[in-house]
Amino acid sequence: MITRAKSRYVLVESSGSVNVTDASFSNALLDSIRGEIGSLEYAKAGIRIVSGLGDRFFVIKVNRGYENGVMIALSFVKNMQGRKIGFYTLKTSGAIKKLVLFFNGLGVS
Amino acid sequence: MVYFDLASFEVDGKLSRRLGYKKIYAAGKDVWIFERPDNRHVPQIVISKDPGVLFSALRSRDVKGIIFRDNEFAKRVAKKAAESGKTIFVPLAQLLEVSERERSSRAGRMRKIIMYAHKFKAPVRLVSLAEQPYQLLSAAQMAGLADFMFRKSDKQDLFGGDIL
Repeated sequence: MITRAKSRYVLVESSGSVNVTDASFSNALLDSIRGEIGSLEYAKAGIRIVSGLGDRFFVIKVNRGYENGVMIALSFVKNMQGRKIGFYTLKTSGAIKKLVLFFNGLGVS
Repeated sequence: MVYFDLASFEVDGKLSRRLGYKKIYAAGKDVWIFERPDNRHVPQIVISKDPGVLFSALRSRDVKGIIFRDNEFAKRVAKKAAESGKTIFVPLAQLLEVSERERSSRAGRMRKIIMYAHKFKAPVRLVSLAEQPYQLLSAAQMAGLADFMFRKSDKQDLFGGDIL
């Protein structure tokens, strides 16, 4: 039986402003995550940055079952593009709409 | 479940709630961290490498808990913490900006502290003790780290509930 791969979406806040549409930022972040979880896990996890919400929030898409690994990896990413930065995972959901609703409820821009 | 954390600076209440904590206590405001007991400020946490200092600190009413500096663990101190019901705090910030090798070495020593604290039934808590905002961790990240690094299925012991 062929089953559909399911995804989880993780809402992430950064301690400083980031531009997720900038390829150099997203590549650096994905490289950092790969450095923490390893190439094999990274390949299985199917990680993608799907959208930016304001200048400090964004959503990461990850295959179901790998979201904890990504959350832990983000805990260890503290240095990017020559500056100190931290990433906090605020909420994980199976639907991106729910994360956007949650984000709107935070009252931040 | 309500989560609390401890940081070395004051964290905005809104950020605390976004991170999933009811409150992030600030060292120097809500609690004081000293090298040895100092009765001018309460409540306080004593951080030291010296087991003698930690042992005597656990006798003081003003001391809420202790931190093993550089994870220099002493069994008699853990036993005393269990007797006095005072908390052993394990700071996670020390794992964040080090090499992978150093991280695994430190995590091993932290695991030993947690293992013995559980063995002697001493209260033990993971806290971030972040010195800068970028070192903070969300409650979900803390739970993930507790599961991953310390093999503790009952996370409530390690970081749920009030810490002071």
